[in-house]
Order: sequence, then structure tokens, then C-alpha cells
Amino acid sequence: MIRIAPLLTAAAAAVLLAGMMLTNPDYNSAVRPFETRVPPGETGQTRLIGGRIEGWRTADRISFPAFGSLRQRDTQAMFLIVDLKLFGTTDSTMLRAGWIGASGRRYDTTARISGAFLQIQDLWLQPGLESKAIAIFELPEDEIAGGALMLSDRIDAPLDGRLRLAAPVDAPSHVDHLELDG
Amino acid sequence: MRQLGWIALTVLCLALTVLLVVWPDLRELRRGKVWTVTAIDAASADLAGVTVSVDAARAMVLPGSPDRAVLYLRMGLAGQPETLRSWLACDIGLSDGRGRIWRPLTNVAGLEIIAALGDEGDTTNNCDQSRIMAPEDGSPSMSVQAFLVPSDLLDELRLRITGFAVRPEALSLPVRPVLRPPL
Repeated sequence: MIRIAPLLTAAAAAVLLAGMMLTNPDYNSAVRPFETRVPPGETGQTRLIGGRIEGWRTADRISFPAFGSLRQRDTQAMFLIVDLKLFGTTDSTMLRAGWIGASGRRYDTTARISGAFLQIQDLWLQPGLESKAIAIFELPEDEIAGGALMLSDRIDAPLDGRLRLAAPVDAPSHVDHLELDG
Repeated sequence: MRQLGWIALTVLCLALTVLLVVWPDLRELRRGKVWTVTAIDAASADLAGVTVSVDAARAMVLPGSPDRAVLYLRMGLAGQPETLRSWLACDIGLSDGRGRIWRPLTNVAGLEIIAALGDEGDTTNNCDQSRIMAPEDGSPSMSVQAFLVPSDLLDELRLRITGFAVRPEALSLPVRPVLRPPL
């Protein structure tokens, strides 16, 4: 019995050590930004960003003025336009938005509507000031319902904050052709 | 008693190992942020061998959005060119009493604010350009910056400036913008 006790202790230590090694997160996981989950319609805040979803719409075609002429963009998927109200908290921040689809895939904002006003990738969020913005995505229709909008600092710095705003409960309104200001 | 000694030695070795591992990170953390701000009420002051001065500050409340104002700031950096280059990069912003920071606008809107509130023949340099292109004789190298800030904080805002290689030290100077009527 006296000899078994140290063996059991060593075995337990080995199991614990193996468990720690197997579950040890890799560097990117260990320093990934903290995610703040916000229920539909509510306002959330991280160290740098605060805001909420004001509404959402879908469209098959978007037109917008750019460089003195009207541009038109069609899609084989669907344009999703998310209307946001945002405010800065502690430091001027440039933003990055992504749509986490129902499947878990992440979609970045489209660059095909470059030139339309109020797009989130052009916004410079300032502390103490509220701003309206839109985030436009081009994605398959079945990725819209049940998705979420992810907002972060453009650098998406390690150990900083991300805001995950859940999609509204109501279905988005749909228009065939959406005209945006430029 | 002897066992306690071994345990104490193990704990000590563990603490030393942790310190050894985190030491570079602690140094990086210290350099990565502003921890010590020296607030001066004069229009100029020295920081790490460089004299920083606020030369002109003008503000305009936006007609359509009275809660926000644009602010033009002309400042000078004076010092030996090698000293200015040793800063590596400017870290500047306007700060309020709550520690919030407004950074210079580096987009088209910023250029428009500088054009609207600046002087004829103003330099177009920003802080980093003025730092790199400082005159050899040590005279002030001017730069202009534009900011978008809440209008109710105009009297409170201060310039907070440091360099990447100067952190954690920073300097805070009053801005005192002159209010201009909306265009």
C-alpha cells in the first residue's frame, strides 16, 4: 500500500499534466479579443465601441452616385444593409464590420459599393459623439436570418473588445432596387 | 521543516521563472501606453529634449450638428533633428478630464477642416512629417492637425503628445481654441 500511493500520485500528476497540455490554447486563441454578445435591439459597449442595430434591409440591386455618375451593382446573392447607431467611448476608432452568417461563416463588408455615404468602413468613431452608419454585405440569403453583426476596431487588436450584435427578431424588409446617397 | 524548505525553494524558482518570462512583456506594455502625463499650463514645454508648442487653435461648431465641432491645431516641435527622429513616431491627441482621446483626422474631411480654419500658406505637414523634416538649426517645425470633438468640451480639451520611443512619458498642454462662426 505504501508503494502504491506514490505511484497513484505520479499517475494523477501525469494525467493532470497531459490534460493541461492537450487543452492548452494556442497563442491566437489565448489573446483573441473579448466578445460582448448583445441581444436583438439592445445597445452594447466595449472599451472602444458602443452601438446598436437600428434596422436591416435586403436588396437585389443597389445604385449610388460616385465620381459624378450613377453606379449600379447587381448580385447573384443578396445585399444585406444593416443600419446602425454607434458611439465612441474612450479613443477615436476606425471600425471593421463582419456578418456572422447562420452557418457560422464570416462575411466582410462589400467593397463594391465604394462611394456611398455613411458606410461603416469610412466612419471614424469619436468619443462622446453618436454616429449613424450602414454596413453592406453581399451574401447568400440563407445566411441572413439567425446571423449577427460583429464590430471591432479595424486592427482587431489582441485582448481588446468585439461587439457581437444579434440580428433583429423581425425579418428584414426587402426591396428590388435600393438607391443610396453618395 | 526540511520539506517546507524544498517547497519554499520551488515556489521561489517558480516566481523567478514567471518574472523572467513576463519581463519582456512588461517592458513592452510599459512602452506601449502613456502612463505618466505631465500637465503644463503654458503654451509650450519640453518633452525628452523636444520643445512642443501650441501655435494656433481654432474651432467651429458644425451648423447642422451643434453637438459637434471641428478643431484646427497648429503646433511646433523644436529640437535637434536626431532627437526628433529618435521619437520614432508621434502619438498625439486631444484629451479631456475623463481621459478620453480624440485623434487627428487623416482623411479628406481633415484636409477640408485645415483648409477652412487654417491660414493662407500654412504648412501641410502632420506631426510625423514635421518631426522627420525638422530644420537643422533647431527652430520649430510646424504641423497642422484637424479633429472632430464634442462642442461642449472645447474649453476643456488639452493636447496630449508623446513619441513611440518616449512613452510612457507624455506632455499635456492647453489648447484654448478661438471659436469661429460657422461658414
